[in-house]
Amino acid sequence: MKSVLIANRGEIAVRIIRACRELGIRSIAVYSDADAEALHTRLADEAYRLGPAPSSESYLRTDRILDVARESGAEGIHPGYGFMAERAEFAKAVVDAGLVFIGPSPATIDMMGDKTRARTRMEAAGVPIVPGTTTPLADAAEAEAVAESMGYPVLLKAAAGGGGKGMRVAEDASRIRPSFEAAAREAKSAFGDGSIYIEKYLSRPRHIEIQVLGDLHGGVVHLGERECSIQRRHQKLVEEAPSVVLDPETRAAMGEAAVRAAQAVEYAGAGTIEFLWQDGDFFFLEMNTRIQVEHPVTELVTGIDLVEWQLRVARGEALPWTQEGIRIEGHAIECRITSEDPDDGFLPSTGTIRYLELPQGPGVRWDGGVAAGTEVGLHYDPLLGKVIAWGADRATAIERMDRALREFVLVGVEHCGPFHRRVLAEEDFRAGNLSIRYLEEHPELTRAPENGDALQRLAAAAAVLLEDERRRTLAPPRIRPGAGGAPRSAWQEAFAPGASEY
Amino acid sequence: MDYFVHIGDERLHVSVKDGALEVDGTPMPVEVLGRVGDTVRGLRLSGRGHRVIPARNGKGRWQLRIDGRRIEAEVLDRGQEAIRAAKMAAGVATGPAPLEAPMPGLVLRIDVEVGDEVTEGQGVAIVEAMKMENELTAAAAARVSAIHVAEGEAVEKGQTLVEFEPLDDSDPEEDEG
Repeated sequence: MKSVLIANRGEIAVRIIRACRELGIRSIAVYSDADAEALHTRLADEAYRLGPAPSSESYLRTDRILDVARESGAEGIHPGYGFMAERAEFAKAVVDAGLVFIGPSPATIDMMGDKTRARTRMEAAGVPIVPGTTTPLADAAEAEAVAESMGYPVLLKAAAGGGGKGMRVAEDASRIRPSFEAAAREAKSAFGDGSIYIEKYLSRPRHIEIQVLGDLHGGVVHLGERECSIQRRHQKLVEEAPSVVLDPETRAAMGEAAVRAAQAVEYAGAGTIEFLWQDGDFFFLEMNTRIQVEHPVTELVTGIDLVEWQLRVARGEALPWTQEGIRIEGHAIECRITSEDPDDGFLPSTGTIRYLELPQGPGVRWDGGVAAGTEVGLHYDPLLGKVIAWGADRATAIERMDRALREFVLVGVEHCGPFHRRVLAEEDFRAGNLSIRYLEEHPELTRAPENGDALQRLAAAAAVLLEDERRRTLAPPRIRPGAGGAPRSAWQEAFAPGASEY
Repeated sequence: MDYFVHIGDERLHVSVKDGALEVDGTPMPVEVLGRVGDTVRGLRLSGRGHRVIPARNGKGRWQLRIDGRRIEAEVLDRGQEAIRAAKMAAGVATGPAPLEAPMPGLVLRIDVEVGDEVTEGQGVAIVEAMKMENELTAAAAARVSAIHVAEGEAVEKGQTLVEFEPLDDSDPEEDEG
């Protein structure tokens, strides 16, 4: 495999292009009209247009992607994450076209995409699952009966679900019927499938996932865990490896369970088994059959390049490690930088990035998909890039991340960098006291903090100095506008009303 | 030169004399670094550095980011301040604030009609941005006086969507706060 088409955009497309280049593989980017000049199109060896800006007319068009693959002579297709990454029919179309799909087989994607089938399969493989049903419920009456025997609270979930849609908590018997009906309605409209199953509701679990890597020769290893408990509306924001809460025995048990899970579905490539952990017990949540946004933290603590190994596995290479050969060293943290305003309820922000100063220095990595001049629009998800920091221990990694975020400057759109610095300074985070309810328990982190007196005074002084400077620089024009048609000076042009700068 | 800086509800008196600066009578040895037009400027206060990203949002109105914190400041000179104070004293009624789009997006739904009475926190419109639906709510009880956008319309950040007028029985002083 000497050429790979990257059926994605943004930071993950850039990440895959980098891995291709390091392996001497020709990289082929695709783009929508909104991304015609995006970073990934400039870094790849070649770039081809898919279609108009909406995903449904570009990055989600199997036919267009395969057309470009044929025209460009691509031998493999890497789907990245999101878009086509977990669509079994896309993987099948790629394979049927005689190309290599860089990921697991269509059958594996299909199996793991169906939550109840995945639960059944995992249970059979001896992987602990959250107590509940492994088949869809017939009706609200069955939901009531199961909940009664299991004990409240319970969670009703769409079998075809994801992203929090078609999901309802029922605290007690009075809520089970309305919750069932609401979840089924929502699932039907979101996924076209109203099947609902039931799980025991865990009050304060952590999200801990295990990275696995499999090859085409039956080899599977796990690369340790990532803790991704800090989430907002099921969107992960901060991830770290390792988790502070796992003792060596639980870590080994989770790793072995993940390897069994991967082997049960003959997994090839990079995949993630997500677990919920509470009070020492862990339960299978779902498997992501793709590379994940947070993969760099695992790369930094294991020294293994996951995207490189996705490509090597797809080429038929066998994994060179035994499980004992995988070593976890130090601690890594990732902060996702999204174009959301952390001082205003995480409202999405758009605009043109006018200025960008990336974090640098020891132990810091930036995986991004934007550059100065990039337009951030509303068509795609708001991830701009990720800051990842490594340290010999967790405290060092936290300090290093804070230092990196302090140096990071992005002007033109609002971004959630300041939110991350608030998290890094927060006591429970520092103590490692996390759960997926972390942000519900710390709502102040998603609001602008009060301006202190000193900041207020500094701001007043700065505003006056800038205003004073502006008034002095803008000497009153000698000729009134329109009176003589004298050419305007460069200064006047620069400060004409409507100029974006001050 | 004397300036009055309004930040939120606070008013700070800043005087500049021969490059020396006083805030509310206390000397503040601060200098601004960089050049006019630079995206990122600096401040140095008693040797300690701060990064400032200034944006001018109209006459005397500055949005400053200092060390990642965002502050909106309005700078008035003595004359402008006197006019402002006179207006306030005359009790110029401002009326309920219009509903503006907090971000660019697509208007999915308008839930009110002209003449409707809304209560504080009532959903008025839904704007979709980045695949997320954002419900925009009324800031105070009022009556809808005008609707400037239609469902399905794309809007810019800050664009006025809906205007309100005070309810007949409401206290006109209420909005002066």
